[in-house]
Amino acid sequence: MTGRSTRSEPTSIGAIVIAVLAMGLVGGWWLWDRSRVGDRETLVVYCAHDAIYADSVLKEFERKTGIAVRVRYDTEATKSLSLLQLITAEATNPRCDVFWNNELLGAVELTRQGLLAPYQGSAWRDRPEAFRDPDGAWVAFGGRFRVWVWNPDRLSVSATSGQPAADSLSEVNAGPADGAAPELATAMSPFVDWALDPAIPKALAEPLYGTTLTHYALLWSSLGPTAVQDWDAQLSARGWCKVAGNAMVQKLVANGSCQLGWTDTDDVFVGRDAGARLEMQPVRIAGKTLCIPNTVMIIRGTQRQAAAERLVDFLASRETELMLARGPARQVPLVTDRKDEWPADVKGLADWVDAAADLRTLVDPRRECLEWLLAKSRP
Amino acid sequence: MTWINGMPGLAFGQAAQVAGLAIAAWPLCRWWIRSLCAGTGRSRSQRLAWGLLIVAAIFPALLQGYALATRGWPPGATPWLYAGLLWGRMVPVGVLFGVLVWQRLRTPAADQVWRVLTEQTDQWPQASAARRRWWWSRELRWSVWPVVAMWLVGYQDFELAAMLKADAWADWLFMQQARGLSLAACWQHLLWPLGLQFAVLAVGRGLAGPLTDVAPMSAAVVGGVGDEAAESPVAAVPGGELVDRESGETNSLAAGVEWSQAAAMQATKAGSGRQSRLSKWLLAVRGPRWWDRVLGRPGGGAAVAALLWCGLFVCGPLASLSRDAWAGFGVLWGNAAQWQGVTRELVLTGAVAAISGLVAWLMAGNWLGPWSSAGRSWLTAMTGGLAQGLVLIGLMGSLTIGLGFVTVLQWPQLVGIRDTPVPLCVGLVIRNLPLAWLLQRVIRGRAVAAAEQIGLAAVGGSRPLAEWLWRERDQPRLWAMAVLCYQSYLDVTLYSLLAPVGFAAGPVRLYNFMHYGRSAVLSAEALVLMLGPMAGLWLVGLVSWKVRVRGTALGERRT
Repeated sequence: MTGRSTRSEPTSIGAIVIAVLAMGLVGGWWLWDRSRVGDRETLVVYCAHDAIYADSVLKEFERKTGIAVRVRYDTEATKSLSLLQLITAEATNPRCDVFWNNELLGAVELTRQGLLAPYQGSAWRDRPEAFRDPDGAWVAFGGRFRVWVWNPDRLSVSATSGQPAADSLSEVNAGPADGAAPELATAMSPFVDWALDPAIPKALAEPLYGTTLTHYALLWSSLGPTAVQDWDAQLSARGWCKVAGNAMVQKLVANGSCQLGWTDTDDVFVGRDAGARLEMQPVRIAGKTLCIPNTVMIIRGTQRQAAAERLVDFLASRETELMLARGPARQVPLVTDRKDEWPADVKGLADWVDAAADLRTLVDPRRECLEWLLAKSRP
Repeated sequence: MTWINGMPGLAFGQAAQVAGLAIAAWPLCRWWIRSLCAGTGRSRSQRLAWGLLIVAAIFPALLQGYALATRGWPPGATPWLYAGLLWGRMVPVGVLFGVLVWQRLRTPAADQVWRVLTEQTDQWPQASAARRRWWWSRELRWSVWPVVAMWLVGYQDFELAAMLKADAWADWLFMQQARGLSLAACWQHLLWPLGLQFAVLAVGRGLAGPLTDVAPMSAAVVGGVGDEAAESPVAAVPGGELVDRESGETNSLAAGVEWSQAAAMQATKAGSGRQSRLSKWLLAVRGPRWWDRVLGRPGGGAAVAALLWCGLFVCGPLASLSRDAWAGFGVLWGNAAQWQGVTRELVLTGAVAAISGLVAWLMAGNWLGPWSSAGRSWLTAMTGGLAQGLVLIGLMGSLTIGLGFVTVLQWPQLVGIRDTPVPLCVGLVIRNLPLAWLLQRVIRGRAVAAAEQIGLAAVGGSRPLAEWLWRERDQPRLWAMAVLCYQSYLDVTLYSLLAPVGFAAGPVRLYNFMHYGRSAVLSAEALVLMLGPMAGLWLVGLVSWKVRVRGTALGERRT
């Protein structure tokens, strides 16, 4: 079979024609995409927040300011590695002007690497201390919480005490959590019995990524490595299974495959909107809730500093927080003094914000925890 | 270093498991292939089975994994579930490759060689011993590429493993990225799985032999005995083998001849074939002819089995996805911006997929095509060598290719193109090259030149010839290109790593759908994004058929 024969066949000629047409189409789109902004100032934004929620916010920014925004969204396909690592990889030739991250520790990592340009704007001044970088390298807004989620048709919680109702516990394993360290029992409160009961199927997302990793890091920091390692080693024996993501935890609980799980508030709200009966209570570790906010930061080396600053102020503004609170994910505003304006199902979470743990110190525990988790996953 | 040391164990263990699955799948594939190829021409049942098998082969693994992962399984069941789903993906691939190999070797020239030999056995006493040896050779040669293809599909799986939390080297490598694995470390890990894949391809090629291309032979000059012996390109040698006069190769041609003829006989004459006991036993049915008698048409068994297969591995996940999609279509239709966004994603991603799939196909045909180095210019040899190197890179998988590109695109000389569609297209082409090469290898050796002559002589008029050419030559190639394009379309990792800023990719939306959780609108969008390209491919096939066959008929009437 020779090259000559390949070229002369009708299928090959057709393939060449279609490929050339497709190249024209893609090339045409690319040229159009660059020309449509005309002379307007254009910001390149890397966005780790879900596209379906972030898109309307960024369009509103474009409408209000006239500054065009070209967005590169993250995807679960590459977890959080793509945008964070892309910014690190592009350090010498940055393409991104503003990074909208959907968690906080990545921002602290980038600050340590010196890749962010500090900016202390109106949004920065407005935030509580725990939700901003001291030098202004990043600022946080609109958060989600780690929660216990359960299906009230399967498990019941006493309305008065907030504790699991007795009839929800298996007879064999009800009672004190045998073998559980006091610190761990406290960390699992008020669901320690459910958490340790192997008869109750439970789910958590793979802790190598995302908010579950932050959750583990906080446990690691509060209880120490040994307690976390013991806990993780006994997960299976205690009825826990690790699944691909937080959304899957929500689904497994919603469809009754599991009765309890750890997930995020946005997943619970999405499930409820889809008709699932789900209840939630915040995860509390040493009395603190675990709030994972969005963060926004300017990349060092940007050629559009002024426009980038406007976007930072816009994203971390109270108006944007309100937009996110009214969206399907019900991100909770981090400034709580105007909670009368919050939607009803978010208003009840205001107390959780005040009780949120300061995550800024978790970078090192998270790295240690991740190293241990990766080592554990070695083939 | 300790965690690097673990990769060989995982790579070898998974390779052995997947090899076991592929070998276990082969008897089933074999049965299926024979039902698909039974009779002359192609019946409606066979066409249906073809279509369903292609759908089963290219249906997104992600959806299958997602549909089952959300059911909640006991931890001990996961490896079995994973193996079952993997098997469900591997078998259709094995069948499709098996049919292509079958069709490649079953040529008019080969049939004629066999006829001459069998009719004149008394003049060639060693024929019977040779046939026994060739039987084994036949089985080996027939089975090698389909089994290799199944093994590659299973070994490179990432989505199912990730969804079901199964042990797989690709998923493990992905997990290591969580802490920012350097490209050098990534490639260090890849040495074992890559080496294994390369070794399997090399062993496959060694076992299958060069599969002498019989295209230049005309049935009229085939012989080895009788008056035409002096002109024949094939000769019988004292050892009882056939030798190709020009290349000096022995056996390979004869083996192809033997099995193709024997298989054709099995398909048409009851009880005359050498059907393996294993294939009879495995299905607990009585072979394709039993099914065919029951259903009254050739390929009926294949169609029923394909329906069952699609029901299990395609319709189940699809039903889970589309349960609430109907309501979503209404919402989607009412929201112009959303509708336009989905259409743009579909068209743009489809265009990029078409570019990469077709370029990979053409590259594999032109640069990787020549099976012999004799007579090649230095330029051809160089481009061939380059393409072979790219095939090797393609075997590394999307994640490694993507990370490699991200690193390379930071070089000052290349910064200018990083925000264009070029890196994405090139990355997808490289990712597609191994499959394109394999498809080219099994499709393009189908002795069309000789067959065209036979067909021309056998059928009168241009309409039947055009139909015949369409069925035997164009359609398999179009299917191959369609599979390559659809594989490109679904490569979420490369889209997310290499797409230019502002490029919204359809498959990424599909993937994120899994993450965000099911909603009616997202289900509808996912259905559009998944089925849209399939409809597009079908349309291209239909237009090609019209142009090829109807155009010929129209011309015939005019003349």
